[in-house]
Amino acid sequence: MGIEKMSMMSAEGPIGQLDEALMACCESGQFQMTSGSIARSANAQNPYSGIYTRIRDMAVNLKIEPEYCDFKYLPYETAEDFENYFDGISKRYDEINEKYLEVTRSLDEHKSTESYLKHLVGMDVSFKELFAMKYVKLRIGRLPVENERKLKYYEEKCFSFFPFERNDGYVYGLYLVPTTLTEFADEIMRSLFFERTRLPDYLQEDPENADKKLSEQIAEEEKEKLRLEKETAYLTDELKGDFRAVMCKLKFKSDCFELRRKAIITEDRFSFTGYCPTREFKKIEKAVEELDGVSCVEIPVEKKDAPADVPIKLRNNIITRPFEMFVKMYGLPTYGAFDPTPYVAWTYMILFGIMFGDVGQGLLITILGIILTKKTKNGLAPIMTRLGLFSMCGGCIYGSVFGIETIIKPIYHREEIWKSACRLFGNLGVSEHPESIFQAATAVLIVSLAIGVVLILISMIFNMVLKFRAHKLGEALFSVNGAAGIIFYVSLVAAAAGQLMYGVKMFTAPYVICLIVLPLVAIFFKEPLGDLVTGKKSAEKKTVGNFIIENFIEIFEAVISFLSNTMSYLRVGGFVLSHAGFMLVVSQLAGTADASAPITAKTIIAYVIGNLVVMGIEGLLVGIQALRLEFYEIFNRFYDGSGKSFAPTEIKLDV
Amino acid sequence: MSFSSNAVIAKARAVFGRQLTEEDYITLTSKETIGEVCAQLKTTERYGRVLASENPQTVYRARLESLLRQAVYDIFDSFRKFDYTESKNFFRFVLASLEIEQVLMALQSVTNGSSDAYIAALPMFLYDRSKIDLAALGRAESLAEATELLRKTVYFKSIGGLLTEAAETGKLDITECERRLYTQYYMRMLKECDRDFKGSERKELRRAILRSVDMENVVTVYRRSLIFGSENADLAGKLIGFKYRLSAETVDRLAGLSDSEKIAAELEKLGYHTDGRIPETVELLTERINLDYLRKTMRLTKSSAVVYFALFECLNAELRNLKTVIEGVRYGMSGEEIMRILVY
Repeated sequence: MGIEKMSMMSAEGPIGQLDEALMACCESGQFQMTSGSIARSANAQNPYSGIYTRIRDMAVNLKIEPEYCDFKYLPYETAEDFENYFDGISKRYDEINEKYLEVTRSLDEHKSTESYLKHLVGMDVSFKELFAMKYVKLRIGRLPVENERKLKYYEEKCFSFFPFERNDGYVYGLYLVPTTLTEFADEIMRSLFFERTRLPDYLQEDPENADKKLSEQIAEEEKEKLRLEKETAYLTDELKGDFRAVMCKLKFKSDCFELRRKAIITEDRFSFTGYCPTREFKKIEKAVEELDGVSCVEIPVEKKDAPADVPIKLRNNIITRPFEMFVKMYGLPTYGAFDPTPYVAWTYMILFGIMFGDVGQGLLITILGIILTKKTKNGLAPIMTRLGLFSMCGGCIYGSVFGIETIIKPIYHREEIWKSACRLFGNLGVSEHPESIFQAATAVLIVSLAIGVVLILISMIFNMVLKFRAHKLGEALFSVNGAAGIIFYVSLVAAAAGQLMYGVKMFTAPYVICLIVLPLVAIFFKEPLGDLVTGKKSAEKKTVGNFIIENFIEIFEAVISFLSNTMSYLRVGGFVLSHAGFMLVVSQLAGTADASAPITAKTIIAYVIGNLVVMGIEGLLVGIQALRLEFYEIFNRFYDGSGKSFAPTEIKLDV
Repeated sequence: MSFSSNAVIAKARAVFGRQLTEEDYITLTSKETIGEVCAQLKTTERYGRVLASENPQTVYRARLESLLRQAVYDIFDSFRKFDYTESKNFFRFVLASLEIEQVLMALQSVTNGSSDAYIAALPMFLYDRSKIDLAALGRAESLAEATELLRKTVYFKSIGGLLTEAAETGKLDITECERRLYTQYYMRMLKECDRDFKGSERKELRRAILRSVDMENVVTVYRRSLIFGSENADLAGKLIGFKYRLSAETVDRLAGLSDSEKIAAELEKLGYHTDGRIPETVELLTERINLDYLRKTMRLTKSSAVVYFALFECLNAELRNLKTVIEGVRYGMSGEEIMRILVY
């Protein structure tokens, strides 16, 4: 469990086997290639990418859906082969397409004219007569409605506008102007945003009849368009099979070429390196060495002095593996460092179970998680399965089954357990065992704080151990999250708890000086003390003033953060109470607040809806809050997520 | 703060949130024709409605610009219908700003004899709203006629003297008219601010208004001193008569400066910060300073009037950007060149 042990793998062989060697490595799904560094590595332009883009565009034009198929039978190898293939297809396609575009253009023009003619219906003069006028020019088009009002200011300008129809914010009509003033009138009308429509010369009749003639022409053109579409469809059917295979092979060639950039290529030999999990090396080696002349070598990566670029792959058991998603969200550990996934998993599940304790709701969440895991690849689904189980455990403790607290006896109704808790925790604010969780609210909050203290301490101990392992003695002993910080925090919490819960006076002078002040002083002088212990001097020089200010602020921030991080865990208790509160509301709405109330259909419906709403809203909130506690209150103390994820190199053949 | 005040602020921020982004401008400036720009703007929420029935193949540049201006005006019109707070009075200043622009154009058309062009360019949405007969003003055959048409308007108080003098001499100082009209405009705005608002809200609004005035004055100082060669002593009389941080000494210092970086450094000392991006021209610099401030204010203020004012300035800036894009595309400028003269 933890971080997968990695090995560096180096493969070498004749240049002719490079693509196959890359393919063999990539097919394993466990190989991440690193970049080559010698000057003669492949850096030429990819000759396949351009042609691949054009073939993809052609696939769109031919309406061929790309999908993976076998391409080994294809004779095309070089970019020139693929170009020749593409040229052959595009010639045939272009012949049909040119005619199609011509027909479409003509059809659009005729339809536009037809739509204009419709606006002129009512004009009982034929176009032939209008176009034949010698001394008066005609302009047909449309004008924005608001500008029609401006025409009154041009009344003396010797042109007349005749509106026919108003539609869509425009007025359709025509204006007549003496031939000698055409330019002037056109200028004015253009300034009023008049859009002129040029009608085709073949329109001779009046608008109504011209419209009929145009409709017939449009119908013929539409038939022609349909015929050309069918011809394109036949072409598509004919080419589909080989075309898909060509796309796949081209993609393969193009991706291999890109990967070649990371390989080192001399005149007739290649070599490339990469990382793979140590336990996968044998499998990859077997696949690669099946190729003639290709060999590979393994170099295990040690935890000490590991290269900075070692990728990280987490490896955890089936229970904690889904929680790797949270660790990845925050950041992966570096190679050889500590994998916090099990810690995150168990603390998250426990916190969720405490905050969202209900047997029935937990069961539903588990079932939902199982269904979603089977049907989807959502990373949250397996997490839900596990959280549901812990929620059920929490429900057993609170005695809650879908908010009904009479089916199972809650833990605080068991007198012997309650008395033991009181003995252990002292005054929890309630002398007799409480009837409902609300009567034990103080106890709930105190327990939440206790959980917070424990988790914070565990995080700090982790930090201390990790720093010791990394031989950073100064930080392990004297930092806020090191030994000094632990002593300070434990002493403060113990004294506060002793004073408030057991009435023991612990804030005596020796106690305060030795266990609270001295650790703070140690933290303040962390750097010089660290240098003393390690026998090294830090390179950074600071002035006294800077030193005092920086460290004072750090102390201040540390004390505040201890307080705030601890208080943050009160939300655990808060959510316990709010969950109970929500379910109380549900029971009241369902009418079951009174134990003797009959159970009706309304009761069941109210319970169902209420539970669903609470599961949805509160489940989401609790999940987010628990994650927040993990990231801010726990990770902050010991974890540095600066590792890089293991991203296996892929040659995707799904085009 | 009243509920309708909250509603105005929420709506204004929602409108502001839909402003065009850098990516939108990059897309627009990559277009090659006005039609393509129109087609692209038709897909935006803000301008899609006014451009819905426009044909990108046949749309005119001036028509496109006019429709975009209408879209912005419609936004403020929509505020007017539900704003029951003091900020509704600000709508009058939106109108006044457009009116001043048209009055100046009308007066210029009267002096140039280009009333046809003026009528064509007159936005009809403003013509319907304005109490001034703008069309008649633009068609006036003489300055005397124009003076009579403006006599009963609020603008006569500030430019009546100039118009009467121009009617006799035949020469009208249009820049002085502009200065007086905008001085009056800001004066009315500040008076209303002092009357209708109190405490921190009043302070905030005054600050926003006066900053805008300062930026306008900076541009005037630059143009007057560098392009027109005005003497420092004459500059004070050419500026809008309200100053926030622009003292006489600052004006003197700015008057000698020739490039935007030096002016930016000088403005930095007055507390007018840039975000490090210094545009090539002073006009763009002042616009950026103003816009950055108003955008921050828009996000943080609790005053509906301040939000309204900030939104007005931001939308106007967007409109100017779009006009720049349209003209740039029209004249074949490259996308990069156009982007350099936008403020976003």
